[in-house]
Amino acid sequence: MSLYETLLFVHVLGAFALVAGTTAMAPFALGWGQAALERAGAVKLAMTGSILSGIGAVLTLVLGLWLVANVGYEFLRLWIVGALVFWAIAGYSNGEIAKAARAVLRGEEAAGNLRALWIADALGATVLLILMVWKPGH
Amino acid sequence: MLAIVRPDAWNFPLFVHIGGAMALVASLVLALYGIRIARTRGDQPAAQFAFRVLWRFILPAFIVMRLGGQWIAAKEKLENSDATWIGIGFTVSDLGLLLLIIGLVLTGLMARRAKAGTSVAGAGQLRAAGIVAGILVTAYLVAIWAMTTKPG
Repeated sequence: MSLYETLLFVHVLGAFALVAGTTAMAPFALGWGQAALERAGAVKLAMTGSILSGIGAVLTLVLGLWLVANVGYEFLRLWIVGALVFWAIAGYSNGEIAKAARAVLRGEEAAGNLRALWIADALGATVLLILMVWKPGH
Repeated sequence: MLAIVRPDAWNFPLFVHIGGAMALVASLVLALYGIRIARTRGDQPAAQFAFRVLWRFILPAFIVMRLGGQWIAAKEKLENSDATWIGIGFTVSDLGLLLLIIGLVLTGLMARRAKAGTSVAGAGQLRAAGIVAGILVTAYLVAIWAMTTKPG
């Protein structure tokens, strides 16, 4: 495997982990399957999701920037700058949901509109994928 | 480099394929947890949740991923290619469907049993469904490796 292939594989793997983590946070943030998971189960799943998406976020960013340098793309392109903006939106939303889950674990009330945060997170990830596929302004 | 050589007409099928694959792997993580909870508690809501994740999320995501894959393969004229990475993709996809059906049947039976009032805590069928979901996650990781590095 060449360096490019290795970087691409780990970068894409990170993107899958990011989306898996976001999905794992859905029952807690959206109140899905409350009867099945109960609040504690949903919180535990959200914490696992926050770890997954945290690892995914770091891998996508670090390996993504490394890929840009490796392939010789210019950094100041619409799709790259846009990807960084949406990565930050998704990362912030993820972090806030994880913070709320930790608060519930401590027995406190979850603050903030978790539903809106999760939707922002999911939309951010979707736009990221669109930017990576279409590469506008390349 | 791919962006330079990939025609615009390939982008949407590729997006559908990758988006479906991401939803598929993400739902599998949810299913693994759901199956574990169902096996621990054994009640109807937990067993129903595990089955519903497979039925309402994993199966539709699989269909989107598979249709997107077929579409992009047709665009790239790779349907009859004997490249290793294409072979890995189709093999994982076809065997994955078989495993997914097994998982659906197992969790569906357990959801029905739990609905009838029988506890499914510790059921072997749920353990098997969990193993199937684990194998699927591993197989899809291999597919991601093949799709990104394109061996052969």
